Amino acid sequence: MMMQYSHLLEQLLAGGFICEVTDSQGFRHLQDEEQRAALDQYLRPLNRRLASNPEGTVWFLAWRELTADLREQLSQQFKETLDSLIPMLKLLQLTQETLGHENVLTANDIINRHDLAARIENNPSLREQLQALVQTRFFQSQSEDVAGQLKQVFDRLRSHGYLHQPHKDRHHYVVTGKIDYLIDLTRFIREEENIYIDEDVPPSQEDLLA
Amino acid sequence: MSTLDYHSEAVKQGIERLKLLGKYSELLMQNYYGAELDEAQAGARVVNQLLEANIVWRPDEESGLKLTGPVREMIVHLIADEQRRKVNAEVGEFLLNIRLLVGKINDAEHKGNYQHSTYLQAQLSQEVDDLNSRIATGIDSLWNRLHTDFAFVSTVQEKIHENEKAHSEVLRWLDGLQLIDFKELIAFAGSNGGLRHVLVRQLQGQVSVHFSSLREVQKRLNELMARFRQQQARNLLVRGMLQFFQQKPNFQPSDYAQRSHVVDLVNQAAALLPSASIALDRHQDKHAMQQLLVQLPARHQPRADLPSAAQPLAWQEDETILAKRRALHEDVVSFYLSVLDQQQSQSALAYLADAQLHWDPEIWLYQVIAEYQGLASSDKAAFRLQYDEQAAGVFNQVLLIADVQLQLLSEGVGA
Repeated sequence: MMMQYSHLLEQLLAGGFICEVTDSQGFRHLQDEEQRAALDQYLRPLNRRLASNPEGTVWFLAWRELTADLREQLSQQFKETLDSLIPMLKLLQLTQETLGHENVLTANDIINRHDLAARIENNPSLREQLQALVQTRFFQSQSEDVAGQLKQVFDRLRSHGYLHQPHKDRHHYVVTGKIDYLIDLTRFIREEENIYIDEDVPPSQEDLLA
Repeated sequence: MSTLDYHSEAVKQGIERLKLLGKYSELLMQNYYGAELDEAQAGARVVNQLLEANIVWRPDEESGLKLTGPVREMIVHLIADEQRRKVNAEVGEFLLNIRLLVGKINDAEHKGNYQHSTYLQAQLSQEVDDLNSRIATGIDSLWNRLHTDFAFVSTVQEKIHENEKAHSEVLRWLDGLQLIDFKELIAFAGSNGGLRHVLVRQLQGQVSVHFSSLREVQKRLNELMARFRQQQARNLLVRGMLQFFQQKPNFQPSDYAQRSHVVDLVNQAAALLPSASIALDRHQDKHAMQQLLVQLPARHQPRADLPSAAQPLAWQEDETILAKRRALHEDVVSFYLSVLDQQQSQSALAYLADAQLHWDPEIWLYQVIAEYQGLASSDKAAFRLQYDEQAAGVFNQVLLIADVQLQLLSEGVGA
């Protein structure tokens, strides 16, 4: 059975996030508790184990035993994720607003890069938001035009595993389960730091533009 | 019927009491719906009549008058259709129509009017079909709303509201279907095969299909509701956190990786890139390796007739070969010195054996001869090489050197 899922293992070991979008077969495999136990058994000597977000929509590898060095590595990694957090949240808001979606992007949503670019192109406010976004360290793009900036943004999202491009030559991207991970991490920070969010006020247009 | 004695006491009493029911119907219905029976207003005579007729009773001394069980039950049956209509108008109406039609059919058959009965049965069948299609349409409409995720309203809040509405619709249908009492329908059909087929077999099958679709819709509505709520929470989170970061640009959360318990969300193992090569020593992989080899693109063969200049020959001597050659040279020099020391001729092969050297005899002889050829002419004069040779065969005059004798010429090298 291991042979069949060597690809899944390699993806996980390479630091990949496995969700229904990136590897539906592998993801289904991970739904089975017995198979997970078998994988964990294999990962044990590598000091790794399977881990998931609270809802179990995305899987990755975590350290089994933490040492001071590994904690240091995790702190560093967390810092990097934090650096990307605000740009990512802003991007989520920008796409939501651009596409006129009621909800922030979630796994399985399909985005057409060209379509998005065209809509941003036609709206000065959105163009400004994108411009601000690509000046962040996470997305940094030297490009002057919307299409080039958006391409850089999408390339970054893809390389970080937030987007999956089913066909290399087409401009359709599918949002992966890693976005769930990011949202869950955001929720975790909010709860840990007791950040107050006014839940009674429904999101209004002014808030979105703020 | 004719045997019934209309003047008997029982019949008289029945008529009396039914009249009582009619006379005080309003009062009784008010009581049925929970209103207190005002004894003073009704008057002691009436109250006594009703008590005597077992239409009302007094549960205990203090409490007021209540309808007796049988009367209450009778009213329930009499107004059942209205109740049903309240639960579900479509099903309530259907059941009412079915009852009327069954009555008419039985009546027509009783009168021997089979043509009319057939016509009425077709009508009844139509009723059943109507109900079915109404339920099916209702379920379809629910599915439509489900499939589009309630896209006809724009905000999540409205979607949640629509979902709740759809949910109560499902409940209404489920309650309606529960009103269909198959025992009652079996009784309606009686011994009429046609009615039994339409009302029992056909309808029962359809109703059970509707039940399971409605349960499925209900399940999906619940799932969708959970998703709506989750989305609502997400939207709020993204918006709220961005607002928070804007207000506190220097916010730094604590370092969760240094806590005693590290949650999985911040415990992400470093990437590891596994690499692998073909194991050439695994016999069982031989076939797979062959397949791989076959699939390799053929190497381009340079055409033989293409003019090409030869690369300059670069002779790179291997270190080990050079070392071997030096050792051979030194051994041969030792042989010459030994002849000089002993002042007598010696066989090259004998020396090889005596000195326990491991050179190949042929190479050894070749080197001894080569060394002799290489001597300076003055030194050469001191020695003479005596070839010990034989013809290769009787008819082959090629001489093969079997051994060489190194002889010392005393006059050459002065001792």
